[in-house]
Amino acid sequence: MANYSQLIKSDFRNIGRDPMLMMASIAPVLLILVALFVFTLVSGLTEKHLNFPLAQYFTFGYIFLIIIAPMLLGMVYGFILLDERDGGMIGYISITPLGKSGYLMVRMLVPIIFSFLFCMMFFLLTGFHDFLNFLQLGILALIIATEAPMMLLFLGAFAGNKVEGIAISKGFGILLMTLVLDYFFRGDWRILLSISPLWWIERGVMNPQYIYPYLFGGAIVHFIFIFLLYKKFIRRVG
Amino acid sequence: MHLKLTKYDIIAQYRQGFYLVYGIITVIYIFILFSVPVEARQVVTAYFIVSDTSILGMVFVGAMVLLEKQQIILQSLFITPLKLTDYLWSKVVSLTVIAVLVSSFIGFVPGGMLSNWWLMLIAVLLSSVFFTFLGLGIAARVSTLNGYIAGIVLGGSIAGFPIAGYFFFHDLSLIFPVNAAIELMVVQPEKLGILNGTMCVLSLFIWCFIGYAFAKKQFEKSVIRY
Repeated sequence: MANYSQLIKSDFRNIGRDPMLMMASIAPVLLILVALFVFTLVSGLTEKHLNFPLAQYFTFGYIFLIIIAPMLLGMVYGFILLDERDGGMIGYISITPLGKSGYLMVRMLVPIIFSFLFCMMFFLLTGFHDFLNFLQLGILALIIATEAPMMLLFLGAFAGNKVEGIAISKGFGILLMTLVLDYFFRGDWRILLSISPLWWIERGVMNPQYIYPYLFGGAIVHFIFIFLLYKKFIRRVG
Repeated sequence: MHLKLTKYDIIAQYRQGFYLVYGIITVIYIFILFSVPVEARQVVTAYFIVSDTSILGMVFVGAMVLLEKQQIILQSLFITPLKLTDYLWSKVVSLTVIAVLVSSFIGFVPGGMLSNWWLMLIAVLLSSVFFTFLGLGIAARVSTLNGYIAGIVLGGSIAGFPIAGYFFFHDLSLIFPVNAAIELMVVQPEKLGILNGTMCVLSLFIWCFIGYAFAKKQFEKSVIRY
């Protein structure tokens, strides 16, 4: 644990140095502000001018915003990992007592903890506890928080260098697109979207009466993805 | 212009998966655009082009430059007879090729941009040149990927912020690059008028020149005088 705390401490020092980490730490606050104020403001405007209130889409909008934070954190930590790997840092760390797996553990754990806290805060401020109990919210937050290591491992497993990392991170937007397709379109074909881990989260929140089956499915899909990506990443780092 | 350098940049981008990623993104955009009602298609297409495909050069160029910096390619490159301007233009041209290709697909296949096709091509071409130069200038200054992303978020916001003025001070706002590009893409050619059209193209040209000067200066300051 002492070894971990050293790297975690230096990570916190990094927040001051790395402008993107700083932005990623501010982003969750901005996302909450958007959910609390911008949504109602825009809905007020569309109701006044177009006679079309957006309140019915708020819950869907919230899910979209909640998911952005862990994805962003995972991406930022993933970019740090790519920078460190391109620079040969992981090789150096692997011969310290922390080791390669310890290094990866810290890289994964820090964004999970941040994301979990963010999700819980977001849920409570936007009134998710009106239709889900605390146990359900806790499990949901934990599942959403694992988006972060998923992004990180995805970058680590498939990007040969930072240029490929940027190319891959462009593709992450496609994952978010599955939510939009599922919500705004109709038809049985949407079951195909269940391959996206985000689909389970959206379905669970939009159908709270079936929350447990969706949480269960979501946890399994997330676990499978993380397991496979971890394997691939370890093979890649050698 | 150094054609050989541009060719190798394009090959490198192909190998690093740019074409694959944008191939997938293009298919998704086309799919979405076909489901958008015909009357709204032009505006939605313009949104996709302005927010993504015309500025993709800015997003990618930084990672390319940073990797070359880290592999000490840049430092070695500039002791060869290769000129800095050739290097910069090669990056800009190779990435603008992808921008124009992708924008043409999403503009012409679902048909949103058919009535404005040549104005769209000018807008995409010049926006891509400007934003890639902007990206190059930022990439010269930073040393980490996250530093770069933060830089383009800031630079992109400053360049994109005047978009609000498009609705309030329409004519005056056309001096900004994003507004000029939007004007060229969403106003029908017969309604645009020669004066407005020329002003938009001229404004984008001037921004390209500013971008070029910025990138060149930053490279001379931070990369070449190491």
